[in-house]
Amino acid sequence: MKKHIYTLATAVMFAALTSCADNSLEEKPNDYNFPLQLLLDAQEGADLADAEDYSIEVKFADYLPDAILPESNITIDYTISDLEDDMVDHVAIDKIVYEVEMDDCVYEREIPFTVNNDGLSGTITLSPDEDLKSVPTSFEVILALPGEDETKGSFKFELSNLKSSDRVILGSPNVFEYEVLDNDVAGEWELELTTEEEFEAFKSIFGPLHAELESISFEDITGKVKAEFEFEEMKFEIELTEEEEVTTCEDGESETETENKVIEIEAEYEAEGGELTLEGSHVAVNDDGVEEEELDFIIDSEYETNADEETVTIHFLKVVDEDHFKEGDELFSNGDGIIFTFKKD
Amino acid sequence: MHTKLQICISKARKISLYTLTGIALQCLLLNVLLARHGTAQNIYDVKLRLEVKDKTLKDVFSIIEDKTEFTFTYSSKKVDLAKKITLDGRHTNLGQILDAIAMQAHIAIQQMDNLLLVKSSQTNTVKKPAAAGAIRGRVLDEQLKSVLPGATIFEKGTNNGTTSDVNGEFFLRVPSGDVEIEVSYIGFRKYSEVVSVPEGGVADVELKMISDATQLQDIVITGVLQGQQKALNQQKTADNIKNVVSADQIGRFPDPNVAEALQRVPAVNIERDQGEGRYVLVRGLAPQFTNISINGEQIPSPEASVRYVALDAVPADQLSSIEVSKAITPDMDGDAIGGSVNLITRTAQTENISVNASGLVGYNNINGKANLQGSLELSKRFLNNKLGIMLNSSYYETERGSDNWERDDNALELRDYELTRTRLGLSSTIDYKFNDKNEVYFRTLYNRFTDREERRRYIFNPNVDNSPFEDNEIERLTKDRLEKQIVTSFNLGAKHTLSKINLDYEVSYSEAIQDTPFDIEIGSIGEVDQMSIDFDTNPKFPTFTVDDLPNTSPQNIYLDNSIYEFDEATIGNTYAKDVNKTAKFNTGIPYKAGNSDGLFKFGGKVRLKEKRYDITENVFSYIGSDDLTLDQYEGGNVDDNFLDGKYTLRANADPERFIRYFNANPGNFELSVEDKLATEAAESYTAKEDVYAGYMMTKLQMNKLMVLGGFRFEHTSVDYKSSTVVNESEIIPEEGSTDYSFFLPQLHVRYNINDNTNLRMAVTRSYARPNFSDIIPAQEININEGEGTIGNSQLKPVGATNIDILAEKYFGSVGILSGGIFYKRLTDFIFNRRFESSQYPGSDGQVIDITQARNGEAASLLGFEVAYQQNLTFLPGALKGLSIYANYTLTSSNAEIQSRSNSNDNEEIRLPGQAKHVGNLSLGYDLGRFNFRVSANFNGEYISEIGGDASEDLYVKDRIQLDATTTITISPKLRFFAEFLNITNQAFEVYQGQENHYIQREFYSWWTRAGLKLDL
Repeated sequence: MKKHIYTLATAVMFAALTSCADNSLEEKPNDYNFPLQLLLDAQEGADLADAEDYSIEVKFADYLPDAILPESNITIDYTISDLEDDMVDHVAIDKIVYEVEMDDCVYEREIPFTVNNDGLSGTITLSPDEDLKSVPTSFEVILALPGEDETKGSFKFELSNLKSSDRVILGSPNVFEYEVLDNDVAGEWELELTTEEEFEAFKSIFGPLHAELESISFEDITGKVKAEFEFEEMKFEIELTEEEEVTTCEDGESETETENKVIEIEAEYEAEGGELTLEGSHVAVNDDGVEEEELDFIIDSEYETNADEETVTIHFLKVVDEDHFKEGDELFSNGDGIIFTFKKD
Repeated sequence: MHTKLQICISKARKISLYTLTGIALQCLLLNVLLARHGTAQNIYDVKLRLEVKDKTLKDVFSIIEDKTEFTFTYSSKKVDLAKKITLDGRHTNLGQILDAIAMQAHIAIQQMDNLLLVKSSQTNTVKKPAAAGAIRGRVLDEQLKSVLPGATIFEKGTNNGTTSDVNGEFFLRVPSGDVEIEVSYIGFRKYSEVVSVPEGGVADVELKMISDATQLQDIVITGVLQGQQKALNQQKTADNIKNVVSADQIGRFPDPNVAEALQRVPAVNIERDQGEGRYVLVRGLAPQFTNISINGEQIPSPEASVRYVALDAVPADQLSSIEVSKAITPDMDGDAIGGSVNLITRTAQTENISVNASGLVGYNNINGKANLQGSLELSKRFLNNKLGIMLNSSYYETERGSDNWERDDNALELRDYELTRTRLGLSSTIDYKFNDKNEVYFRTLYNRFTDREERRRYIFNPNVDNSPFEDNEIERLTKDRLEKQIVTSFNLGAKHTLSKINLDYEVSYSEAIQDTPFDIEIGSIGEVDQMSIDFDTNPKFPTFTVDDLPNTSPQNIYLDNSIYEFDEATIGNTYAKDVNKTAKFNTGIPYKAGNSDGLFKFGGKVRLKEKRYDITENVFSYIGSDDLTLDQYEGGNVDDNFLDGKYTLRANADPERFIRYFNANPGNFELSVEDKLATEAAESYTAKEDVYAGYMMTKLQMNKLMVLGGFRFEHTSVDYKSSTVVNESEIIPEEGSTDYSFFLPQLHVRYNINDNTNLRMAVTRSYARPNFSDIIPAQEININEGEGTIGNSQLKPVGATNIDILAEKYFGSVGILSGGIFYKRLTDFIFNRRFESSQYPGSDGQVIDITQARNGEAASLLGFEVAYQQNLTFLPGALKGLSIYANYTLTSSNAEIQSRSNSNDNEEIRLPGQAKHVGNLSLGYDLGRFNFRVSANFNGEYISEIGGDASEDLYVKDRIQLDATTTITISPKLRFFAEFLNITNQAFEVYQGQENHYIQREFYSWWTRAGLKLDL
């Protein structure tokens, strides 16, 4: 009897141990040792019609500090396709370069590539740099463009077929679409603030977005304000009278120049049908002048271009941020708005 | 100076550590020797012949000292040393010689080990050793053959007595010869027996008690009633104020885990998770104020941030009893302000093999799934009762769920939970009794709790302000995670009950692990043109519209999974490990003070703790060129009756389906490296905590009055390592350390008004250590968002002075009426303080809002508790089968903290976790072999979280859970029982500030179980 009890007990205990609910995942995520990804910096881009070249950045996606970049060759195929209008027969890789920083100086080095007979495809070979001891973290593919004033058209640049003995994959995006920047405000513009009233009006719009601008007076600026509209992004540069020495070192040659300091306000923009919307972020400052959180802002405005006079007139209507957007609480709101006219630079 | 002091403390620490460890190990090694040579030789066993004529008493003493190992001690003023003595040489041992000398010199000679105490005496006999013999025995139930813990055993007509332990065993020192002992036990007839005790020896007895049929009115004694008897007897004879829940008593209520069993104890309430009890709050104090032990040794917590243990991980049927001490004694750990919960595992009792088994199956209504439970326990004593082996195993599995809605400001969240939980408990006790006085034991315990949870969420976030920076968003998230909590402990110890001293010591190793091997959450976001939520019309079930269609409309766009774009996937795992290495010893020395019996006790303890927490968290965003929407990775179960059909759900993300896509397309996902590094650095830590404790206490039984007093000293040294993360990018390693000591005087008084009535009073000091999450120096500073959280390694523990007064009246029909008040004065109360500061790592002078745990001012807690349980056998006819179990606790508290409206002022709040009203009411009916019981557990509302101001305080609403259980005793060895829980589908409800401002309502529906219990 006892023997049977023991046998039964052992069996029950074993059954209890093995009957635990199956809690495993059928499909386990491969999130450990996530591979290094080489990818294009952007999916699309554009430049002015007369641009003679365009640089596409290819880089490794963010990787963990203990990850090691490949120390052996990587090959990647490239293809230029879907060429339209003026781009046909006028687009090719000019060169591929990367930068190495040593002793506070930047050195530009080239990456070899081969071109197939069609002239539109080939292979890029990424080799370990002798100073970096690995392949570079990023490089730029510089494409030669038609460079004519009236250039039209578009094309695609695609990377594929990455080969490496290391754990590297081609990430997304791997296709870049280029087009000619054709909106009305694209380009560089300049505004001259000649009176204190003009400056104060300018400050009433942009001062709440930049604490330093809010704190300076007309005597602190040269009066020159630049507006640069590129592909989807723009910036204002307000030139100050104060100067600074800027030293640059490229390929072993060092150069020091004296330049005026500038205040920059950056934003993404949309310009369509005479409406211009700028969106960016700024650091809010409390009443004691202490910087607090970073807030998004929106500037609503209207624009009008004059091709003959080569000007763009921007009518600034309202500036709001995340904490000040309700009616009557805006950072800037003027029934009639404030108008500034920028000249083509 | 400070460095030298630290070096001294460090050396002292090492020396005390080595010393205590050495003592413990040495004691273990010497155990066998001690077992054989417990004391000095009895004088009647010392062979000696002596022939002297007219020698002075002093000369005779010198001769005896020369010939033996004994030494005489006397006062020359009280003893006539010139007295002439003559011995004729016929006596054959020292005892007989001393008898003859005593008679001639009119003195009394008493043996104290190798000392012979000489006193003047009117009698002419040699006094025997103070405890010339002893009775060792066990108290048993005559009918059920089970042991009776907590029985009172007295040498009749004296104050000399003791109580039986959890195994029903006792050891009582008595004079040799015929000694009459008297045993009393609630529900049993008083029993007395004359025992012949040999000189210097031990008499073994088995005292079989017969139930008091007069008092119980012929009620059939089942395991249920027996459990009640055992618990009450232990409670009645305890030195301190405590409640005991015996294993059999646990069976009275449908409580599958330890937390739920404890909710039936007066002044205890519990926090629940998914409807199951998890954390225990004693006397209205948060879980960190209660100490949880297994067999007297603290269990480390598997969770990363806290010290307290989730008791849903421990199966109730693994234990022989649970003790809740509401006032601690000096021989207990001092970090227990609320109380101390001790879980006692089982041991083998008899030479007959004992088999206890149970099997249950049940049904969970919320998801229509089953639950099952089984347990098996084998125990037997071998080698003529010397070796005992007990093996216990239990397994529980349930597939549960809950339907829940929550509110966060203007957002509404629907949560659908589906989970599978298992509990595996394995334990063993091997004990070996070398002889009557010496035994060793080895206990092991292994508990494995798994919790696989799938959580599906809808978050409706309307753009109530029409902000141009926000949209009307609906977030859909599915979480799939497995959490395993494993608690393992090994205890090796010994007990020696020698003629003059009791000694026990133990070394133990315990570890608690919380392993989350996978924790995956897939998030998707959809934007809609219009959304509004109405929380006011029906605060219990808010309604909403999306694109102007009501939530009840099956055409509502929120049910279209193609509008939700993939947002991010969080894939990670965590691992927390807490290890305790402990060595301790306790020494008890019985003594006489006049006619009173006393026990002097002292001991020491070293506990070395190492805790660490590691986390891996990978957040992936989608960078693929094609759209990835929820309909492409939806799947899994859909709750068609969510919150009784008030809301409609669609299939959410299927994590496994998504992972298949993720694994096949790694190039479409980007790892957020910065977030990963910041999260992992800010949350992971290692900590070391060494505790050194020593105590002295004495207990004196003076007729009806028992006084127990003493003190305990505990020194704690802590070291922590973590990281500070600034702006989610800069990671700075941090270290912190602190030391603190507590001197804890304790006083307990028990006055037996009569056999069944006690009056108790206790004044005690205790403390509570801060949670690891508060004290580790980890800091997370986000300057851009103007806020940060900073650990506080200098945080002081909470100190407390506790006063308890309790009167208890026990009924012969197995019952109790008790009532008392308790008062606690807390100092250095811990609360989260929010303040502005420019002093923090990475500061450039910016002022940000810092949240940090700080010591507040004093807090106090005053309460009244009353408990009543009785079998109403005095009622006529069939009504005598009725029984009642009721308790109620009224508590009020206030804590002074920095004012939330004006940082220069203070304000008073209620202590978080403190419920004003807590109680149980349970009505039972016994009819022959049938027992039915319906039980209500009431948990009053309490603050669960302190908000930025009073209107933001979160309250858990009061809750009454109604359960029913029935037992049919088929035979003394076989019982059938069925349980029906949460009959009224009581929700877990949280409100903010005002009672109608609900922010959470979670429903679990009812569940049931039925099965058999076999006791062979």
